Amino acid sequence: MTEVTYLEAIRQAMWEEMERDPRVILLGEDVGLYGGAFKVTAGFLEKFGKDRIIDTPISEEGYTGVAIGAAFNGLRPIVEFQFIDFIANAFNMITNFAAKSRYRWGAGVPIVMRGPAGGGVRAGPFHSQNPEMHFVHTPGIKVVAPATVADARGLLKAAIRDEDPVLYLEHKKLYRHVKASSSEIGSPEDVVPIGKAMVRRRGGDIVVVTYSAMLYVALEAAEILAKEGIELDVIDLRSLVPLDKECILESVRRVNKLMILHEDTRTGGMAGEIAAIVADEAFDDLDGPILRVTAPDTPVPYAAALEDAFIPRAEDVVRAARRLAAY
Amino acid sequence: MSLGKRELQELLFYMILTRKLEESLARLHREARLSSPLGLRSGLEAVSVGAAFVPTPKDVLASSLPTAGALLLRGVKPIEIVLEFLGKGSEPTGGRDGIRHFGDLGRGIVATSGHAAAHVGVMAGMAFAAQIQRQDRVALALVSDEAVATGDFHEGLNFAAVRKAPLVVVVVRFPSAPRTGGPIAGGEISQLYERARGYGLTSLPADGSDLLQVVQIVETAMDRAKAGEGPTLIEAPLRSSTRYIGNDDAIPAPFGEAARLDPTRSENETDVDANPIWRFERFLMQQDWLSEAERTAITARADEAVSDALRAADAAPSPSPLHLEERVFHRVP
Repeated sequence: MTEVTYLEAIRQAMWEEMERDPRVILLGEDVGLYGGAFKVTAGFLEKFGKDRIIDTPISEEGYTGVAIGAAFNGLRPIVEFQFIDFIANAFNMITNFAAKSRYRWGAGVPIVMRGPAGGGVRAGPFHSQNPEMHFVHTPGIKVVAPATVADARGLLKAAIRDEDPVLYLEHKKLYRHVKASSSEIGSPEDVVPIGKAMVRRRGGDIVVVTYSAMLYVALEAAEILAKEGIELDVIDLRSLVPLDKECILESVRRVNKLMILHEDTRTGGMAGEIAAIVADEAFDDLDGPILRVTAPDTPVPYAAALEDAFIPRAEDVVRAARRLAAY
Repeated sequence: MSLGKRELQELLFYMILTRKLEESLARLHREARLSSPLGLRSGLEAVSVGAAFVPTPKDVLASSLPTAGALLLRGVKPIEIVLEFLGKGSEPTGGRDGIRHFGDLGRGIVATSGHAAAHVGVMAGMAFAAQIQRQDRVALALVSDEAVATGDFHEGLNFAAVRKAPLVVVVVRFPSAPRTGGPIAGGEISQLYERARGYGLTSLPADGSDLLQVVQIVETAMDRAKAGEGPTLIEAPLRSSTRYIGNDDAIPAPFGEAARLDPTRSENETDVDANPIWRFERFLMQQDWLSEAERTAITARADEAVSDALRAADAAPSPSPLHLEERVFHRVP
């Protein structure tokens, strides 16, 4: 049986959607002739031609604007940021144009903005960031962050078919490290709905809510803790906007203790928002404090010793879980 | 483009309507019936009306110019414009964005985002999409000269130039920099349209106070775009332009009630040349395409259109807060 990587799943999703829908185009730096910095789009130019695979100048604001205009004209553009860090250069176009157009004048912007996020590959402060909260905080943009091969494929398909702007965060460390059999990822028609979380492990002691590459940290910690008799309930959010509140609240009401884990920095992170929701809607169900395990409030450092200390590890989750289990 | 007397008089009507409507909005502002800044300027009638006259219904337009003239040419009714300013807009805005950011794809109008030139990139995208979809469509972007200082302006033009996209950009150069304009590097020693050479673009100058010249130059640029010859940058300098609401909160004298729209009351030829409406009236009269009676009738028609709009706007309801959270997304998540 063929093994499919997370990166190959992204490639398949775009390839199949471009075959299915001639309105789908792809823009970005080096996506055509070079096949993408991570070779996600190798062979696309030959297959789909230069009208649909567009090598852009290095001008994120400019080509995001072009994608918005192309969407107004009936196309469904995918914008690839070579590294998601550079989405900062397109911030105005995303937050002021794409996010607000439907609300203020009824013009939908069905674009997908995708690119490699996250650290752990020694790429330093400008090629390792997790920028999700800038956009989670912007009404009008959906945000997804798949952790598994099947979700990488199914969520990207859903994003391409969605009528709103979707930020699709693909974790670069998962590109070639996470694999699944071709039967596990389903058929070309299998779409993972945006806005639905998934419980990846059932447990009755502590709920860990996480997303993207941190799913594997949570699962690793769960194995360690299980040997101590502490069972984690692990939720993979998959979508940050819209957030599957019901899935989180259901687990909290069942398990009564909550930890939130993310690779993004701490202050103003997703953990704070989830903690506030649970405090508001399930306070009486909590038997302990809501704990956050996150990166510290620093840029992503380059040196291996520093980056290893920056990104949450299984031992950090284990330590927090032991503390929470004591309540 | 060969224009008959009827079309020429219609263009005059739209210029006068623009002026009358904006003077009325200034009055509403003075009466404190508009809570937001007015942000409109006089003297842009030739550029906004002339440029917006050329596109066909299939073409698309986006304008960040401080005037409503281009919208009127695209079929937006005076009542809609007044309602937008009053925060009472119906579809497609619903009062959610009332100040000069009106858009309606059904009428080929793309809303700008409030920054000087963000729409240049977006219109480059519409042009590019039309190009690869083999549509006979040109995207027209109107910007103030302050836009040339932005990255958006350069990134949008650069993309359009690389792809030879059917984009026409008109830069209106004000006699003095608009409020947020500030200095533009090289502006003292070169014309803005000359910058187009740096992108390998065709560039054309047009007198921004001369309606027929604007029509002719925009038409040339749009013909080039439709012929696959790529984008054009047009620079349209104005000889005079004044904010309707200035620091003294008064309607500027040259275009105020006393001297309004009457070429016979002008002191000299320079004044007439600087006022696009007077200038066009003088031209039409010199050609015997406009009589005094016709001018009076056109002015009365514009007055009536504005009065009707103001009356209807008074009676229109404000949007309901019940709809505040609607339409952020296609479907409520």
